[in-house]
Amino acid sequence: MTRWSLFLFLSFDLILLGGCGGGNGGGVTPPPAVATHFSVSAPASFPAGTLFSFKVTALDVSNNTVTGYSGTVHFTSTDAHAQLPLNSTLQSGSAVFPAALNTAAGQTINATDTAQASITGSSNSINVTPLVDAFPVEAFGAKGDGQTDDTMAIQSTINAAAAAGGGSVVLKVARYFTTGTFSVPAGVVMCGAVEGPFDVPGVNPGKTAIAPTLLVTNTQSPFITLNGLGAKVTDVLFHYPNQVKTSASVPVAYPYTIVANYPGTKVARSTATNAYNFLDIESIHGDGRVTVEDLFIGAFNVGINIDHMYDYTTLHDVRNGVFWDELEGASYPTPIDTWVLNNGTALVLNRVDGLEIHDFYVFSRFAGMLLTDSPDTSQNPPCAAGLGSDIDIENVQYGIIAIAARLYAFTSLTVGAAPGLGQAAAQLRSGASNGCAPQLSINGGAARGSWAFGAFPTPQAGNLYLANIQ
Amino acid sequence: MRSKTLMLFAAQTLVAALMIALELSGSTAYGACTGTSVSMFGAKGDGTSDDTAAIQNAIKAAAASGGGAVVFNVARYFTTGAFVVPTGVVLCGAIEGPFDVGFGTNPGVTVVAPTLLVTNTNSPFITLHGPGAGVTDLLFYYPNQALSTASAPDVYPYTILVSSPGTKVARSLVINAYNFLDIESGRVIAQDLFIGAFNVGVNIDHAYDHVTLRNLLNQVFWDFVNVQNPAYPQAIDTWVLNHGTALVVNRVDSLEVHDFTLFSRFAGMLLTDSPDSTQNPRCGYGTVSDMNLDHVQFGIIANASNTQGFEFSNAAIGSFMSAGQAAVQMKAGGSLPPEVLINGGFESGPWALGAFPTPGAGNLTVVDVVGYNAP
Repeated sequence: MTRWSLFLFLSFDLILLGGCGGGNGGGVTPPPAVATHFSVSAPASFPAGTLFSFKVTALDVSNNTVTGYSGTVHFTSTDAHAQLPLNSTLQSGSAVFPAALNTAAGQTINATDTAQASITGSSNSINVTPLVDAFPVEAFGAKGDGQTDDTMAIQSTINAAAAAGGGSVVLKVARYFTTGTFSVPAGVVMCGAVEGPFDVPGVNPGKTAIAPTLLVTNTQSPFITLNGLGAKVTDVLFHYPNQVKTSASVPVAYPYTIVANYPGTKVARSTATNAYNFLDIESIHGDGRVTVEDLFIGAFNVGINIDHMYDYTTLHDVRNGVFWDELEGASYPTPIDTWVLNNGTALVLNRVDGLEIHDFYVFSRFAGMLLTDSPDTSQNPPCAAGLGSDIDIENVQYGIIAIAARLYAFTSLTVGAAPGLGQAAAQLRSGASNGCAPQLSINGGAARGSWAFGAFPTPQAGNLYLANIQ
Repeated sequence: MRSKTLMLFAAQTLVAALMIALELSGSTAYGACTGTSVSMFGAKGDGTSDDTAAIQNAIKAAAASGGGAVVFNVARYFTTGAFVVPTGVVLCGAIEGPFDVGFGTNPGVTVVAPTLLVTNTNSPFITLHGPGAGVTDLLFYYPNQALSTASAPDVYPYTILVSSPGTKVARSLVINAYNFLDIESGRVIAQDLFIGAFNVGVNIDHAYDHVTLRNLLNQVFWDFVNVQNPAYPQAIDTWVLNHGTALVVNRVDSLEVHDFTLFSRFAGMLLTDSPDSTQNPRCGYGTVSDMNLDHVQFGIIANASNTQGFEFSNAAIGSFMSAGQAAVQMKAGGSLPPEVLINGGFESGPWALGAFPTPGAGNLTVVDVVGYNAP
């Protein structure tokens, strides 16, 4: 009874000090309560890395809600890798907040008044359950703040997934700055937490987090090597923050963003901006069988290179564009586009035993495809064969340059000349190794624009079969 | 004045909370799939314990909660039984497929993917029995199958039987199956599959609606598994060259196939009447593009089609060296004469009967196909 009186007195006093001005005339105001602690209620169990909501309520000594609580609440957790709200206020004594916990164990979230540490409270124990074979990079210390070097943290995550026999290394919608490179072993998938591909119209992904983003700065070796059966990259945006601007005349040369060295590997639903070379498929360990799909590629020099592929490779829904213009909000053509128009090739095909390519789009390159002998002449043959459909190669000097190819058959192939620069829609050249004089069939499609050598000049070597071309 | 300040403060708090929510809301999904883990129901995934009951319980739990994913870790789940997957339940691996085995990697011994080890010989291993049932991102392996040095494979029922519309089989790999996928319904999608099946890769019948197949590769994965540096052909490859068919098409009312590739089979496709003669018609029709049938005795054998026929564009058909019989052979004996159009692509012989022998029945139209002899 005594304590209650004292409490009433204190709370009244506090409110007076707080100067709740304006008075409401003759009304009888009950003495307001004062907060002594928080209740923090959270789910009993939730998967790691997954957003949930929890409720904080300011309570008085009798556990009544203190609707007039006006302090600021600071959040902590027993999980060192928790994602928690910033300091916040409550409304009418309570509020609901989002959070994610990343370390699988019994965890709590704690709320404390920033001015008066005695006003505090802890949640019920939250059983943070592991996601099935998912390894969030945050759980290994990655910051994703666009500045801190997350190389070690991401490598540790990859190692943990590999040690577990395989799993997904999960990147959130954040910018992970890196200085090193990564080797992805068997059964490990490096993936974004939201489905790609992504885009950058007027948005610089080096500054704004719009996707699960890896910022690449290493200049020494390929950024990611898919180095085991079934290793994959999906749903990631790759950006080179140190690449030149569109006002430059020459890009900085980087190694390939991704090299695929094993069968059963896959690169899917991802975007690259400001790469020099993007994807090199070299199935040097085993037969091949690589899947490439749903990619937006902004690479100045080579989009995709394929060699040492003694089996089938599938490549579909791939768009090669000038994303560097898009992210700077610049109008095409920028100075760097001139370099790309004189040097860039969307697809280079060396030794492939069966390529399936469809829904392949190219805008503004020197050549859409270069079919040529592998530089590794120990292969027999060093050239390739395949099928393709629904291929659109726009604004190029050459649509297809074929120096060496066993046989490619394309249908629904459209090629458009770069104004004033168009050389040939398809040109068959001499110079192939023995048995690789180019054989190319184009059945259905169109060649548009003006071509200096004619759309389909007389082959210097091999055979060009044309049917139903407009 | 004071109350106005408070209101503003409250509004700022709300905005701050919303911003946090927006920042975090992009991170709610992880990996290829999440849902009911079979390990929660006691599945061991150690390659030797029988996980059949645990997996069945996980499927029941997912079904009881209205549907959802039943998730397999990157582990080897040994099974002795079979599974019926009901409405709204998807069996999926925890990481995205399809998977592969490379040279000398035996998925019965080494963990390379979310793997189901299949030993049941009595019924289809998985039956997709309800709209929305599915299988994704799994590796199926038959550890008791004959080695590649054997002269004939052991017979198993289909790995997956599809009996409902709205079902899907995706991003998976099968090795050492006898028959892999039997689609007995319309509105079914099969995509991104690596198929190592000795006898029949995919069979379609009783599909009174559209069926889509895309990005399917039929290969000789058994060679890769059993031999470190496989010298093709192994003994069992000879059996497959005399019996194996990648795709059997019976009754289907509009089949769409693209990116269909195979290496080393007796026939790439068999277009023929359903054994179920109660159907009218008993045969199908559809379109196919970007098809590569490599190392076969017959590319396409057609003895029946619905009147709309089958249209192929950009088709590549290559013979199994001296054993090649015909790229496309039209045979008599079907309930309706077969109609086939091949528009574009190439064939590479030699073919004992000729690439496109005179039809025994129906009509074969070949346009803009390049005859090509490999150097």
